[in-house]
Amino acid sequence: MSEVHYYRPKMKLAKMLREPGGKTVAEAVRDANAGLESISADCMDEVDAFIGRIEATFAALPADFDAEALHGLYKAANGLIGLPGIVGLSELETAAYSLADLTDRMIAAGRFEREAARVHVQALRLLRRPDALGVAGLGEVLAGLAQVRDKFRAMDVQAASD
Amino acid sequence: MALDIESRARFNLKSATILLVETPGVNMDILSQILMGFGAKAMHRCDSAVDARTTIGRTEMDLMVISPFLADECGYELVQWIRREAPDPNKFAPIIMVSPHTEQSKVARARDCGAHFLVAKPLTPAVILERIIWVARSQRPFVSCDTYVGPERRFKFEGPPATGGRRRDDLPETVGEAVEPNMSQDQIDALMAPRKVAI
Repeated sequence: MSEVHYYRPKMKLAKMLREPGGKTVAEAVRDANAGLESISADCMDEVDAFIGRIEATFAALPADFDAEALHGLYKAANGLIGLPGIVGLSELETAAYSLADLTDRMIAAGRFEREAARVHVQALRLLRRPDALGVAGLGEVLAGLAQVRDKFRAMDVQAASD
Repeated sequence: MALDIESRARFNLKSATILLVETPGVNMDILSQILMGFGAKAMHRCDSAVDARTTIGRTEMDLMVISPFLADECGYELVQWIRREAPDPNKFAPIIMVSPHTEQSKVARARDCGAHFLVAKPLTPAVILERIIWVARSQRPFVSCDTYVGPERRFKFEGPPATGGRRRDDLPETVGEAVEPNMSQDQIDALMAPRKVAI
């Protein structure tokens, strides 16, 4: 059995946070949000670049399961996560997360469902312009993606129990 | 407990040295803007694990924010290296990981590599600030063994396990009547509080 050691190293950060001056929580959050606002145009460009990268990665996927190729798609989807939310495209954020989750499950299951991935990739382009879809349309697209992902998950669970 | 974003409570990050390890471009800008908004001045930005290792080797860090997705290496492995091989005091520095995909196994991986926290993207200033303050205040002890080096992972107190006892001779949960009267506060103070003795 390995030996376990416990110790309490000094953390300077706690002391620094208490130093006089600084900002109030309200000021800090306001200033940070202003900083994010200042890079929103760059964020939007990066969102478009990642959607393009995801489409290209998907188009290059081989017909059969290829863990490395799918990992490329997973990585591209992860690159998109976190960006749409900053510029108010929350539905696109949800779809990017759904694609990352789906590809992660495919890699773990050793199975590639092209249609499920294709629906996700196409949805990204649609959700990039939420105004064109309207509230009802946005809801339908997200519900469709959830259905596709849940179906894969259910098939995965079924395959594991067989 | 969630941070009140209208709070007038003050904090100071001005003198903290912070390491940001994130993919280059907008993701790095997002982290930088948030921390600059908090008043941080000394930030080291690294877009690869190799770069991060070099920086960690020569600069003392007070906080590290690390993404698991780096071009050259997985961020979890970088954190593991920091906990085991980085020079003192960097190996004990607070580490917050910021991850896009936070499926349960990824969260467990972040916990097991020695990070203090995993924050899900999209990042919001309030959540990042809440985690920084929480990490600094909690002062979790460090654990070191063959399989893990990092902050104590069991930081939630949830009481004894609800197993109904493991042994036949475990005492029942119900507590019997007191056999002696309760001590008064003065009696307790006399036992606990140090007093000067007048001679």
